[in-house]
Parts: sequence; structure tokens; C-alpha cells
Amino acid sequence: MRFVDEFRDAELGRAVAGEILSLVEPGRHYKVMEVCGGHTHSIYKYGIDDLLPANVELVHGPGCPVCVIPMGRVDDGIALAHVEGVIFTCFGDMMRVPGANGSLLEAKAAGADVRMVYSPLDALRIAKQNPDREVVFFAIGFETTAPSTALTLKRARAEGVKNFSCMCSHVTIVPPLRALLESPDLRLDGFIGPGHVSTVVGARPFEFIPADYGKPVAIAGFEPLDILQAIAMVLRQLAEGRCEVENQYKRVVPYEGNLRALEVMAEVFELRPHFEWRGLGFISHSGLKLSAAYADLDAELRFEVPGVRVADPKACQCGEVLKGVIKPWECKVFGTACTPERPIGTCMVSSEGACAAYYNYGRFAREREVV
Amino acid sequence: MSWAAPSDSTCASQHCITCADDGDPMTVVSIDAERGLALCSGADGARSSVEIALVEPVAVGERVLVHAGTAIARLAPDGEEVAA
Repeated sequence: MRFVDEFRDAELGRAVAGEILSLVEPGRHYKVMEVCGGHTHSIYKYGIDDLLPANVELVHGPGCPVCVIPMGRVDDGIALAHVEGVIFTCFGDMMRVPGANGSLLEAKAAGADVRMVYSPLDALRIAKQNPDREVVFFAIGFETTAPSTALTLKRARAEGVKNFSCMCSHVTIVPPLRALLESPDLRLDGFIGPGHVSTVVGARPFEFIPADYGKPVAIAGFEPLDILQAIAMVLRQLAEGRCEVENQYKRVVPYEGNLRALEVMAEVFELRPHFEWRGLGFISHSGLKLSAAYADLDAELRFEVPGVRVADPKACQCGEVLKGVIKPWECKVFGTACTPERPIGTCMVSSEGACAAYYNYGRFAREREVV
Repeated sequence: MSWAAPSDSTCASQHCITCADDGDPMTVVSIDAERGLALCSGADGARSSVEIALVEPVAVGERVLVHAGTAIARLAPDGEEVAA
């Protein structure tokens, strides 16, 4: 298959692994963060970390949109789902995220009309098919997904669909990265930048990482060779004493991003002053809500939403996993009390979550190493 | 030789379409210009209706990257970079 097979060539993979080996200084420990959950998933699916020298450590970043949703937000969704006459729609992974009082899936079992959709457009279709019901779409995701929600809201407006609204929990990638770089307990040498977020926002928003923090960035695709090559690019920059934003994923990511997507997002959304991230706390200007022009489609204004803040479960260490401070299997409840079937923390819910990726691909069996 | 991925029966064997950084390369099969939608075909032959407002104009046979029902990028032909 074009665009896929050539990036899974095992011979080429071994060659890039050899290049990586030649770039590392013995005795120096390298910590490279893959920002995106999609990368985390690919790394464990293909065993990429097994190809790396022992002194190159991959740290999993906060780029899984399901994993960063705080419990209170799930509870708000469940409250909306229980409103008489509401059809609550959301992406599949979101249904299993535990709130303080169960998950959306459990709310569905208890009688709420919760439906899984593959796109916001599907949610709009349900609204058109059910004119006597209120359809709420629980919008999550980074800048990759936000344009899709924005276009659907514009379509709802243009088609005069009155019974559709959106509970917007979209987030932006730059503020949490800045928060991580400011974090005193985390030392990173470089970043593998998110591929599809960059398709929308471009490479430019990541320029602050080399400019303000002196760290190299390589934006990468999702096939094994993409990721290996991006690791090699970061290590080469370090070896040569450079730091800049390089784009490994040029076949998809233009430097300026998708300007039309950015325009439609600017029209439909505005930044929230603060948004709570699971494990990371409140981060300024990191979440999106509907702009004043689209306020009539805002489910949080149309319905009463409790908006209660719920502390993360004490046993769960998702926050430290999301910050890359501990590895998933170092969490006290990993693989015992917390499994993909019965997750306590969100990192175990989504297949892109670091804990689920470790769990599903047998990483928990590896020799425990001290970080 | 291609890189073999472990197979399993759960969603974890593939990126979930619901995950935010997933993207499916799809081929445009037909275009409904009036509604701003295109029928696209995925690698497995499955077809779906895709929002094309962000990548217009696209032509039948062109390949696009689809995320959550929306084409977010046109895919460059082999070995080429996308236009900045």
C-alpha cells in the first residue's frame, strides 16, 4: 500500500537504527519525548524502543486527547446525557473514560441515550434524523480534530439544524508543551513533534521550543521508519550542537499548516482563559470553547452543566505518566487494579494512552528498569 | 521484507479513528460539490462520506488524509513534499 509499506521496510529500519547508534555519545543519557499518543502507540506496536541504544529513552507526552480529559469533564458529559430528551454523542474511546460516578458507557447502561460516532458529521446526521430530540456532541481532540467540529457547527448553522449543540473540550498542543518545559522535575533533550496536529497548525508553532528552550524538534509521521528517522534527526541535531524544528513528515505537513482549517477554527472557537488537564492541572489558554458568534450551539450554555471539579483518584499516577516522570509500569495500579477492561486512569483507556500501549503490547513483562 | 505488527482482536491493533492524531489516507471516488462532501475509499475498500472544505479543490482519484470524517490534507505524490 502506497504511503505505508515503504515506511515499514525492516531493512531500512535496521539501517536507521544503525545510524542512531552512531549518533549517540556513550555515557550520555538522552531523553526524547514523543508528544503524540499516536506515536506512543506505534512505538510499542512495532517495538521501536527495542531498536534504540540503552541510553536513548523515549518519554511519552501528553498528546492523547482522551487521556487528558479530567474526571469533572466526564461527569459534566454524563449529566448532559441524563437530561430528558438528549441524545449524547461522543467518540468511542471517550465512552469508557471513568468519571467520579462511572463512565458514559455505564450511563448508557443505566438508560441514558449515549451513542458512539466516528465524526462530528455523524452526530449532526443523528440530529437531522431526530428533530424532536436534542443532540449533543462531546467534542474532544487537539487541533487535528477541532476543524472537523468547527466545520460541522458551520454546517449545522447553514442547514438550520436547531437541535444540535456541542460540548467543546478541544485542547491546543502548545500550552501543555510549554508547561512541561517549565516543569522542574523533567529534563528532556528533544521532542518528536506531532504529525497530524502539525498538518493543521504547521511547523511554525513549535519554533518556540528551540528558540526559548534550546531543544531540537523533529515532526514525524506514524509509521515505524518515520519515528526512527525523527529520533535520528533529533540525535543528529544534538550531536552537531544545533536546535531547530525539522520536518520529517514533509509528505503530509506543510510548514504553514492548513490555513483554511486555522481560519475556520478562529471563526468558530475562542480560547478559554483556563482549561483543566488531567494530571497537569489548569493550564492557561489551553482549551477551546465556542466563540460568541456560535454561542447558540454551545451545549454548556443551552443546558445546565454542573462544572464540578473532581480530584483524580489517589491511586492513579496518570499525571506523572503524562509528564513522563514515571513509566506506565511504575504506577502502583498498572496492570493490577487498572487494566484496559477496568481502567482507573485515562491513560489506560485509549489505545493511544501510554499505559494501554504498554499493556496491550506486553511491555509490562519487560525487565523493570530504574529511570 | 515488511515490518510485521503484532495482531490482536482489540481496537488497539490499529489507531482508533476516534483518537485525535489518527489519519487515514483515502482516495476520492466522487464529489458532491453542492454539499461540500466527497465519497472516499480507504485502503480496505471501505467507503465513507468525507468533508472536503479544507482541501478543495480536489479531483476524483486524488488522495487525501482523513481524520474524523474531514479531509485535513491532500497527500503529495510519492517522494514529493506538500506545498507550503
